[in-house]
Amino acid sequence: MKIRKIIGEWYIYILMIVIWVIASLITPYFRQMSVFMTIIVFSVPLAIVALGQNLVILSGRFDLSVGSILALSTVIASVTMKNNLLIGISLPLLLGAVIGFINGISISKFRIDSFIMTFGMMAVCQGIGLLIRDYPGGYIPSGYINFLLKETRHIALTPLFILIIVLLVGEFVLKRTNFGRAVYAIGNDDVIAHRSGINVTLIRTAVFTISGFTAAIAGLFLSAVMASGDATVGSLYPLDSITAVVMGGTILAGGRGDYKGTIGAVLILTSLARIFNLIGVNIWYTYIAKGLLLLIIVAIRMFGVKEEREAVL
Amino acid sequence: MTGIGLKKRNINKDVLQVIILSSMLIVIILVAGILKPGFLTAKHLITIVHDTSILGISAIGQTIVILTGGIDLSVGATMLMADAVGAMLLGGQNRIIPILICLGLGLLIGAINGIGVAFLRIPPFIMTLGMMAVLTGSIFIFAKTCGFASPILRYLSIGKVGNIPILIIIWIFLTIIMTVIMRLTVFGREVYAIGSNPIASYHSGIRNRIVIFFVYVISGLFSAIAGLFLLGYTGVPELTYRGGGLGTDYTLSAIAAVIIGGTIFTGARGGVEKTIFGVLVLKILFSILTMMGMSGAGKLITQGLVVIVIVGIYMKLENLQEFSFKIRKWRLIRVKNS
Repeated sequence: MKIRKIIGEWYIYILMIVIWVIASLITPYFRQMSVFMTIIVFSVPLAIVALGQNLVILSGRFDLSVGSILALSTVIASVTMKNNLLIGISLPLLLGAVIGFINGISISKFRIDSFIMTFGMMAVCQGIGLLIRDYPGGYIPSGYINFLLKETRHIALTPLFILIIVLLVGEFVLKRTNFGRAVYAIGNDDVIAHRSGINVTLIRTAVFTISGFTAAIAGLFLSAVMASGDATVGSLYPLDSITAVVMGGTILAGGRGDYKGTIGAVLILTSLARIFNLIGVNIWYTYIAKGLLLLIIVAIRMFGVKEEREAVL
Repeated sequence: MTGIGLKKRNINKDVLQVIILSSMLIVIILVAGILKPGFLTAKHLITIVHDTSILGISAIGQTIVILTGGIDLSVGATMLMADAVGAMLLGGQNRIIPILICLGLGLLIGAINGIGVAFLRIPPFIMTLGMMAVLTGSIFIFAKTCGFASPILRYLSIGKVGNIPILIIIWIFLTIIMTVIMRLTVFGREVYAIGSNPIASYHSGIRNRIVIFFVYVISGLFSAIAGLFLLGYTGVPELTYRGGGLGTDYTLSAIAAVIIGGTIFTGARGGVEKTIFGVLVLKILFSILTMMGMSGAGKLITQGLVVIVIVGIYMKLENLQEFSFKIRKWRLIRVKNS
C-alpha cells in the first residue's frame, strides 16, 4: 500500500529515469554532461511558465495567453535593455503581471470563460509584440546573458539553481501557505470555498496575475538564451505547459496535483526532443511520443479513479 | 396568473444574441461599405461567404462537441490530415476510394477520441490535445506535400451554380441537416441533456457514453469533410505548422466562431444554426480589416479584442437574465405577502 502511494506520487520521476537510462544505453552521446545541461537550460522557461499554469489549472481554469506574454516579454526586453538593464527587467515583469491581472479580473469578476478570455488575450499580446518587433532581433547585454548562462566546467550553474529555486518556491506556495490551500479549495469547488470564507474573486485574480508574471520571467530567461527578442517564440508554450502540468499528475478539473510532478514532466518533454535528435530519428516522432505519453499517463490515472465513475458518465 | 404575466417580461437571451450578432454584422458591413465603396457589392460579399464555408463546416462538428460540454482540439489537425492524405492518394484524378479513405480516417480519429473521452474517461481537452500531437507528428513523417485535388472535388469547392458557389450550398445544407438532427431527433435531445447535466441524463436512462462517442465521431467526420473541401479550394495540400500543433489556427478559429455564435463552453446552450453567425462575424471582420490595409499584428489585436468583448456582452446578458429572475422572485414574494 505504501509502495503504491510512493509510486503514485513519484511516477513521473521514475519514468524520467527510465527514459534517461534507455536513452543513454542506446546512444553514447546522451551520457555527456553538455546534453544534460542543454536539457536543463531548455527546461527552465517551460518550468517557470508551468508554475503559473499549474496554479491556474489547480484553480480549475486554463491560461492560453502564457505563450504570447512570454514572447511579448522577450520583445520588450530586447527593446529596453539597451538603455537601462533595470528597466529592461522590470518593465516586462510589470507588463506580464498587468496582463495577467486583466485576465484574472475578467475571468473572476465578469465571468468570461477562461479559455476564450485567454485566447483573445493571446491574440492581443501577440499582435502587440508583432507591432513592436515584426522580425526577431534586438539587443540583449552580454553581461546579462553571461550571468544567466555562464558555464563553469560544462555546468551551467545558474539555470540549475533557478530550476531548484522554482521547484522549492512552487512546492512551498502550494503546500505550506494559506494562498496555496485557497487555490486547492477553489479548484475543488468554488461555491463551497466561497461559503467557507475564501475570497474567490481575489484568489482567482491573483492566480492569473501570478501566471502572467511567471510567463514574463520565463520570457526574460528565454531572451538571454536567444540573445534577442522574438514575437512568435511563445506559440509552443500554452499547450506544452498544459501538457506538462497534466502529465505531472494535476487533474485538469482542478483541486488535485502538485508542482514537483510538473517539473518531472517538463524534464521529460524537453529531453524527448534531445534524445530523438541524438539517436538520429526524425524529429517529428517527438510529437507522437509526447501525445502518446500524455494519453497513456492520463488513461492509467483515470483507470485508478473509481469514485468518479458515476459522476462522469 | 402572475406567472404568465411575468413570463412576458422575461428577457429571451437567445433572441437577444441573434439580434446583437445580426445587427453587428449589418453595422460592420455598412461601415465597410461606406469606407470602401467596392465592398458592398453582391459579388464581393459572396466571395467572403465562400471563403467562410470551410471554417463553417469544421465549426459544425466543433459546435456539437462543445454542446456536450467537451472540446475538440484535433479539428485542425484532422482537417489538414484529410487535406494531405487526400492530395497524396488522389493525384489529380477522379477516384472515389481516396475520398472514402479520407472520410474513414476522419471517422477513425473521431472514434479514437470518442473511446478515449467516453470509455477511458480522459478529459476531452487532454484527449484531443494528445491526438493533435500524435497527428502532427505522423503527418509530417508519413505524408508528403505532393499531389493535386481531383477535378470533381475542385469543381465542388470552387464551382458555381449561377452566381452562388456550390460550397456555400453544401455548407448551408450540412448546417440544416445538423440543425434538424440536433433539434428534432432523440440523439440531439440527448446531446443537449448530457451538456446540461450528465448525471441527470444518466439517471434518466440516456446512454451517455454511446452519445458522447458518436458526438466525437461526427466531429471527426466533419473535420475530414472540411479538409477535403480545403484541398479542393486550394488545389494543392498545405501543411501549416504553428502554435505547437498542426492546424492550430483552424482549431482555434473554429472554437472562437462557435463561442461568438453563442454556444457556451459549459454545454447545452446554443446550437449549430447559431454558429453560422459566429463564423460570418469572425471572417467578415477579418476580411474588412484586410481591406483596410491593416497589418497582421493589428488584425490579431482586433480579433482578440472582438472575441473578448462579444463574450463579455454575452456574460452581461446572462447577468441581466439573472437580474430579471431576481426581480421576478422579489415581486412574487411581494405579491404573496400582500
